[in-house]
Order: sequence, then structure tokens, then C-alpha cells
Amino acid sequence: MQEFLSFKRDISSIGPSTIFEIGGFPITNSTLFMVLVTILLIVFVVVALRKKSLIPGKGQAFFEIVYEAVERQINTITASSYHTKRVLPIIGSIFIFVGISNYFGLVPGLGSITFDGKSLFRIATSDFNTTLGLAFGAIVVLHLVSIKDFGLWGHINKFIPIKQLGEDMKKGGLAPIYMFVTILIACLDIVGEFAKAVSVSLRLFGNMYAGDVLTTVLIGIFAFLLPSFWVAFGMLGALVQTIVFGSLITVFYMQAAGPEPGEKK
Amino acid sequence: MIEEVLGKLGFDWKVALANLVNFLVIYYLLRNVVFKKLGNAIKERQERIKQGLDDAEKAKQSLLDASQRKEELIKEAYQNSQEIIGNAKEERNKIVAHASEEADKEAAKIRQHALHEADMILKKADEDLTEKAATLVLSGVEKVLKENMTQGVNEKYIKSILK
Amino acid sequence: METQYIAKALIILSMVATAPAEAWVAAKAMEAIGRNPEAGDSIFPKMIVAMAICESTAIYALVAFFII
Repeated sequence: MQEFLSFKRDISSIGPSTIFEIGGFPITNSTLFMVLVTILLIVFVVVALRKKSLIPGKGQAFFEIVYEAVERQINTITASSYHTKRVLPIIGSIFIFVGISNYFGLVPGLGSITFDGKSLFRIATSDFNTTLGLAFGAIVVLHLVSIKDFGLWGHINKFIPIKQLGEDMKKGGLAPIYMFVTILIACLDIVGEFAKAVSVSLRLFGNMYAGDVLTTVLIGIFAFLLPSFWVAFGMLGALVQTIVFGSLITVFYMQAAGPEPGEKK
Repeated sequence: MIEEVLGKLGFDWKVALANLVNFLVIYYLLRNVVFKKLGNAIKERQERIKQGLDDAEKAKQSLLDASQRKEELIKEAYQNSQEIIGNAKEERNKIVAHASEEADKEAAKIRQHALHEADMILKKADEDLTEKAATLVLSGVEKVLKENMTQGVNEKYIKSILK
Repeated sequence: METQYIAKALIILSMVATAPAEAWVAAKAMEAIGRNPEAGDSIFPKMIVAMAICESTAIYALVAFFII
């Protein structure tokens, strides 16, 4: 009876598994999943937006709903149409990609397609490589934005206030202590930049992987009614994690970017 | 050490790079097709809607203007007509007055003429009568003279005639 | 092997504070929305972000749970 009602499966490994290698670069199942997502997106976009029209069809209306939801979401954080317009393509892409990946986690049987004993597709966001790569790439882009807005010198001064250090050096007295504290804070800031990427990516990865693991565990306990509640909650969780990831990147952007074009901070 | 910890989470920088590159492909696709194209479409539509609303507002305004103008025109026309009617009345009165005056004059003239005529006729009748009377007297006188004219009678007649 | 399980149990304990923290954030956000319903649209995303940041402790704990 117990065996009939519950399906014991191995908890999926924390890392992705390599399917094959191309020139030293391992192609993992999460990479394959991203290729699948890309192909689906291309097909969907081409079908939906084949002919752009003033009166939207079903596909175009769907994309417009997504577009406007993302735009509104970004606008509540930036509160300025200039910044929204500036970051909409990249953060909107992150929103759409993370959202699609998260929702694919709810598709049953996707992990059951196996090749050589390894599942062929793994949800990209439940792979730490993807999330860290994404967050790290976003942070690099934000630093480039900061350099563009403040100039290289201004950007470096944001982390290590060299100007202020130089002024402090001329003073005597307690100045060396202040300098020491300033340098310490600068080191903390630089570490903080990495921590930002790690924390954001860990959050997304942790949530999605935990969801995956919990589904497996619940199916192992009682396979029929119990997981449905978790899957229903997972639908909310997938949306929330998408919003959180995109919103946090937007918040980081707002910290990095200059206030407004023309103005000087 | 960091690599060891991250490695326990299944981290491999090659895989991460591959996934990032994959994301960039998605990003270029979405940026060039969805966000640019769709953004333009949405903007265009919003502009169209805005323009349509503006046009509707303008049309409403012009309709209002037209109706106002219509009322004005009607008012003006009414005023004009009143004026014209007033003028006509005045003209009529003038004409009537003129005509009656003329008629009076004419009538007076005609009456005078008639009076004159009547006078003339009367005078002529008088003259005729006098002439006839004189002739009659003369013939009477002749007759009397032809008859037996006596001295006494003669005198009597002369006296009566002379009287 | 057994010390590893003890460590995992301790790590799970560290997640205990997350629930009250998120509940606090949500309660305050609901209060704010109740007081000023028009601002609901702008409060909600901020609440989500704040909750996500509160959640990070639990996420780190989860990650540590998997690493150990």
C-alpha cells in the first residue's frame, strides 16, 4: 500500500549534470534547457509578432500584457520614466527568462526525459551556475552603467574615496584612524558588490531548488493529494521569485546609476 | 576555498559562462524583437488613441462653435428682420402719408378746377342770359314800337326800362 | 556522520526567525495599505522585495544545509 501511494525518487543533485562536452566546455542539462527556452521563445515570438499591428492579436496582446506588467513593476522602483526606459530591455529580459524558467518547473515530467541515466533538461533557475552567471553579468553591466554615468574616476571614488583620503593625509591628529576606517569600509563595499551577486543568485537558486527537492520529498511521502498544494503554492512562489530577482537588480541599478541626465550628483 | 564552497553548490565557471552566453542570446532576441518592436507598437497606439481623443475634443469644440455661431446668426437675422420690418413700416407710413398728401393736393386742385369751371359756366350762362334778355327786350321794344305807340305809353315804357 | 545531522538540525533552527520577520513585514504593509488604499500598488512590490531580503537568512541557511 505504502509503495503504491508514494514514489520514492532520488533527490536531484545540487549541481547540473554534464550531458556532453564541446571543446572543453561542458554542456549541462541546464544549458540544454536554456537552448530549449530560446527555441520556444523564438518560435513564440515569430508566431505572435510576425506582423505587428495596431489592433493586437492574441499573441501580441499576451506580449503586451507581459511588457506592460514588467514596465509597471520597474517603474514602481525607479519612479522615473527615463530610468525605466533605459533598463527595460535588459531587466525585462531577465524578468521574462526567469519567469519562463520558474514556470517550467511546474511542468510535470520535464525532468523525466533522461539520456544516459541523466535527465536531459534541468530548470535553469534551479542551477546555481545560471543564477550566479546572470547576477554576475547584471552586476558587471551595472558597473559599466555607473562608469558611463560618473566617469571612471567618479566610479572608483564611489568605492574608494581617494580624493577624501588625499585630503585626510594632509591633516594631522586623528586623521590616520579615519583613513583606516575609510579603507576598511571601502574593502567592505567591494566585497559587498560580490555579495550582492551571490546573495541574489543564492536566493533564486535556493528557492527554486528547494521547491524541486520539496516536491520530490512530498511525492515520496504521499504522491496523490499532498503535492498539489505545494505545486499551487509553487505557482505563486515562481512569480514572487521572478519579481524579487528582477526588482533587486533594478534596485542595484538605481544605486549604481546617476540621478538624472544632465544633473550632477 | 571559495571555489570549494561554490563547487559544493555545483558551481563551474565554464557552465556559468555558457549559461550567461545563452541568456545573452535570449536578451538580444527579446530586446530587438519584443521590447523595441512592441514598445514602438504600444507607443504608436497610445499616440493614435491620444490623437483620436484630441480630434474628438476638437470636433466637439467645433460643433459647439458651430452651434453658437448658428444661434448668433439666427439672432442677427432676427434683428435684421426686425429692423427691416421697422424700416418697411416707416417707409409705408411715409408712402401712405405722401400719397394722402398728394391725393389731398390733387383733390384740392380738382375741386378748384371744378369750381373754376362752374364759375365759368355760370358766367357764360349769365352773359347768355343778359344777351338773350337784351334781345328779348329789344324785340319787345320793337314790337311795342311797331304797335300804336303813344306818347304817354311811350314815356311809360321808357321809364320802366330805364328803371 | 551523526555530527553532520546535528549541524543540519541546527541550521534549520536558524530559519525559525524568518517566519515572524516576514509576517511583520506583511502586517505592516497591510496596515499601510489599509490606511492608504491608493498606495497599494506601490507598496506591494516594495513589500515583496523587503520580504525577499528577510528571507535571505533562511536561504543562506538552506544553502548551508545543502553544503554540509
